[in-house]
Amino acid sequence: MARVELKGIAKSYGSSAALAPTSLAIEDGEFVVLLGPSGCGKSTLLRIVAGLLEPSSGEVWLDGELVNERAPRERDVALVFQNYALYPHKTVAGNLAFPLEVRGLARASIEQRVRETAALLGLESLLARKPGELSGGQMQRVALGRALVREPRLFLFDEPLSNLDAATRAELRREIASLHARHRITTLYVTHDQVEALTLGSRVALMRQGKVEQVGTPLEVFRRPANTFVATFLGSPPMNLIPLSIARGGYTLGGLSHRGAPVDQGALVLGVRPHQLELRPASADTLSARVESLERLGGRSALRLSLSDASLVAEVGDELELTPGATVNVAWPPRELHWFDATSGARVEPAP
Amino acid sequence: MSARGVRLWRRAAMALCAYAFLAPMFYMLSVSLQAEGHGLGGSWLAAARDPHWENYPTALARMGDWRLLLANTLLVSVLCVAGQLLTCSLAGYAFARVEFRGRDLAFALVLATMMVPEQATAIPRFLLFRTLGLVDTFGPLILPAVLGGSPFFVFLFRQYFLALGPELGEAARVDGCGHLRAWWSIFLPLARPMLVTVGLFTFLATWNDLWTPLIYLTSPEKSTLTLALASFNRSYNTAVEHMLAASAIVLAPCLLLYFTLQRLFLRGIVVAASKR
Repeated sequence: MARVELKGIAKSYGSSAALAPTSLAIEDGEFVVLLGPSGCGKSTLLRIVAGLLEPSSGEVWLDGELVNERAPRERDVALVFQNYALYPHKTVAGNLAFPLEVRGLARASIEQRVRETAALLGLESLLARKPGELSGGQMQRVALGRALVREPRLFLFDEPLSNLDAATRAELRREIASLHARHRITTLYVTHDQVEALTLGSRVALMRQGKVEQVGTPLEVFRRPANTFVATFLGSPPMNLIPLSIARGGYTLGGLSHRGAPVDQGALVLGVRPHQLELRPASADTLSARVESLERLGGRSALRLSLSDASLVAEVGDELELTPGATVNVAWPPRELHWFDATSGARVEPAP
Repeated sequence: MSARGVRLWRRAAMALCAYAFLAPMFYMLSVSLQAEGHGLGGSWLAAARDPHWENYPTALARMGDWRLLLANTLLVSVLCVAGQLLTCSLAGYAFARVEFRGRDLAFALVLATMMVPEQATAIPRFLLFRTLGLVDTFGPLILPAVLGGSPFFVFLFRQYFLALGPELGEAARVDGCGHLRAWWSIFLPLARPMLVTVGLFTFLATWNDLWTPLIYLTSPEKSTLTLALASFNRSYNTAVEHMLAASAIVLAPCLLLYFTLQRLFLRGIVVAASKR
């Protein structure tokens, strides 16, 4: 169990910055997910916390202790890797026992803890096998076990499910969630998969180009994205963004005038999630649109629609037998609209 | 060209190579079995028709105390192998997996020493060992392998460890290892094909080395097998058949070792636990 505090952590290689000064606190027992596209600096941050990389500046605090100068083994953290990183020459039992052997535990207690961990993760029948004889899911289970076996105070995950097939990924995701629910070990989890982030994290930190763009609970970051990057990175299909010019507190879209812009005039970007757009019979506040293409998502369909002055993606039930070229009517205004500054992309709170 | 033609050419090329490598050995064996006094001109047919097996015990007797020579040579070779494997793999690990200031420059310098021929450093090295009072001991034969190893083998280990990827080392360190423990418990066992290869090369090179023992060893009780072979040549009357019989005896352990380790040497291991 541990509280982690990162103060102004930055990393640069020569003149190129991999990580801008970043501060983040992870409370005891919390599950924080670092989410972002590849190359955004999230793995760099994770390795700095583990002690595998030295930050160019900034401080890492673990339980009120400054650990910048501490080697990884003195930090008592466990790390689960994307490619499992099991020791190929050791059996599953040998892999599980290794962190305990290194710490010089007595043989009897090593054996007992290996057995307990194997039972916890359903690995009993695999103990004598070598990693090369396991499937990807089994290998990652062993890696989880190797991290869990010594009850570290901090769990670090580096894209642990990215190499697995969809079914195994979902199964292990549930397993990680239930392990965390049971043991409440403080966790920092790196992924580029928003489903993992939103299902696992008690808080999510979105990163882009070495900077944390927003930190919040999954609901917060999804419902009130701080900027257009967060707005489009979360949600699939991504949020529609429509640049508009506002005049006298209103705007024109799809040939109709609308009220309710958050500013009196200027340039703003309007955001609306595809699933909030509904098809209705034509009326005074529907926009007429043409179906350009459609993508079946299984139960739902993503429609690419063109209005007279913009294009939108709407996610609707596929009970409607629509074909490209059809004309539909979109209800407007939808329940939730997001507004962003046209230049900075930062969120503008909607008018009350 | 037809597949058959390609196969034929390939066979011919391999036969030529095999001939080039086997002919000297065949020649050595045939001379070692011929009657005394033919020199190098005897025919292998004569040797085959009337093999003089007694050349072998005679050669052995003429080498002097062959048990002592064998023990000396084995001692030096085994210590060199052990020293070389430890030093080169440790240095290779450091150059591959430890970050420190000036690492790449240091590695370039180590590699650059490969360009310097051994003969060029022989005199300064001799002066150094004389200052240390190690002339006529096994020190000068063993210490270079233990303290420096061969830059080429350092390079081989470094490449091998780099190819394993960074995650294994990171996992070991997070699991509680320092660099030494990670090297010993994780990287060294995984480098078994490299250990066999480097070990074999080092053993053969040390076993067959004449140059270094010739420079440093003077006392007969410290002599090695190669020195004893060379002394056949120095005697007033060189009995070629005895010299080559002795050569065959000295060569035998090398061949035996090679053929025993050959499968390990070629099999390697499949590093399947990491998915790249």
